Order: sequence, then C-alpha cells, then structure tokens
Amino acid sequence: MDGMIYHIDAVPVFSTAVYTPVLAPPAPQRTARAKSDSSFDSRLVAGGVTGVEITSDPIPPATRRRFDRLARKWKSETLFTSAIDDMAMNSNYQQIIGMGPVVVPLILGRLKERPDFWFWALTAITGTNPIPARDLGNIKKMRDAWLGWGRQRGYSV
Amino acid sequence: MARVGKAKRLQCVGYTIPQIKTAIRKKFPNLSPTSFKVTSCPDEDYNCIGWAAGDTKNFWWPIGGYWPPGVPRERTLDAFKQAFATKGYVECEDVRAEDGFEKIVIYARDGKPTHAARQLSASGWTSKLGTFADISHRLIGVDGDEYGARVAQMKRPKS
Repeated sequence: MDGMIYHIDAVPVFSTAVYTPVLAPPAPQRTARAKSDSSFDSRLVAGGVTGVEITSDPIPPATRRRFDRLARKWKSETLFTSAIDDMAMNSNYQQIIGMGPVVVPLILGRLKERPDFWFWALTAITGTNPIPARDLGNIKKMRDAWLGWGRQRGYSV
Repeated sequence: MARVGKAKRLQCVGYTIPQIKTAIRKKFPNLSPTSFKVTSCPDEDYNCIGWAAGDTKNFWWPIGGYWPPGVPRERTLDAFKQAFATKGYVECEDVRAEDGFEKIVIYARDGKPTHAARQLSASGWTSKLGTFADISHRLIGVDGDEYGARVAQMKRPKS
C-alpha cells in the first residue's frame, strides 16, 4: 500500500488541519457512494476520508465563479514552476482544497479538458488516491486514473 | 509537443508565440527579447528536470512525480544529483562547454531545488519552464527570483 501513497509522508498537506472534510451533506437527493471494491478501497489513504458523498444538487454559481477565479490565479502564479509541492501549497490551490467536495466535479471537469496537477487537491479533498505508483509522473495516466475514479462514482466525466 | 524546425513555424493552441515570449519575459527579466527562443508549446507532460535528463514522457519530481527508482523522494540537492546520476551524470567543476560532454545545471532557492537547464553549445542552454514552454537561452537568462541560483553542475559523455 505504501507504493500507492506517494506524498502523504513527505508533505503533510492532507492533514485535517488544512482541510476538514464535510462527509455528510444534509439530505442529499442522490448519493453515489464508493462501492466496496476491495481493489479500489485498498488504495484509500490511511486515516483519510473514505469516500465523497455526491449529490445531484447543482453547483451554486458563486461557488463555480470562485473556483474559476482561484484556478486561474493558481495556474498563473505557478506556470513556471516544476515543483509539484509548490503548486499544491499555492494559496489559491489551498483555498480550492478548502472549498471541499463541492469542487470535485469542477476539478474533474478541468482535468478532462487538460491534464494538470489537480491530483494533490483531489486526494486532499477525497482522502483517496487512485493513481498506481508506477504511473506517477505520467500526467495523462494520472489524469485517467482520476477520471476513472470519478466515473465510478457517478460524475459525468 | 511541437518543435521548431527549420521549415516549420511553431504554432500553439491558445497562445501566440509573442504572448508566450511576453509571459516568459515578465517572469525572467534577464531574458532580453533577442536572447532566447521559444522551442516548444506549453506542455504539462514533462518539466525541466525530465527535459534536462532527456525524458519528455514524464514529469520528474520527488514529491508526486516520476522519480528514478532507488533515489530518495525528497526535495534536496543530493537527491536531485542522485536522480541525474541515474542518467549518467557526474558532478563537474564548471559550466564551460567541453568537447564530448553535455552538462546540466541545477538551480535552488532557499536550499530547495527548483530547476535544471541543459547545455546545448558553448553559450546556449535549454530549459523547460515548469508546465509552460521550452526555451533556448543564455544561462544567465533564468537566474533570478523564480529559480534562485545555480548550485551544482553535472556532466555526462555525449551519446
């Protein structure tokens, strides 16, 4: 399992001190909880959130606008860096993580459009890391792992 | 990844070359307009470390990226030297061009590696700028606030 958790020990950004997940939104209209698929669940980050509740509620326009603004600023401020840890510690990126599960479909939508380093945020928010260790650094495969994860949970990506 | 050929003009989706050059110059004031050339479109597939090591398939980084097996996954100069050593590089004295060798330079800021550039000729170097474009440039061009200072140089025989 260690091979699947590539940066949890190196940079403790996933701690609940950074992001306190909200696991149970009030009275969701529809939930698509992670299946108890042992091969998948074995990859869950120890001590993290074990799944994300997905609701069919539309994303509030203000949330979408805030996400878009933060994502643009993040990209602009980190365009020239190769340091994935610096990308993740950027304040805009951290604010996106702080927005919680509501932004997961927005992040997956961005990933579908173009591979980029959204993986850290997705892991921080969901507590999950579906990327096999062998694919680290291959951004298209990393993207595909997360899009597959999203599809398994009912996101339209 | 689109490359500049003698007969081909580089065209990038979403950016014009002047836009790319302007964005780069804002961040790297040591690059004068005529002292560097954009040699690829923006591309998230690989970064400066992979580019310096000759790998455009992987984004090399010890935390969350590709990292050669057996090399500590830590953002230290020693780990970066070990990573390049897996590609045949050994430390060397200076950045002067040497017949039969290619050299790389590692940059760091506040003790943390940030960037690597690869030598092309006596005064020509190439860098991949994060998830943005590749450029050819003079070495001094990328010195500065973004990447910090040169902290090590390595060389390997040209293949």
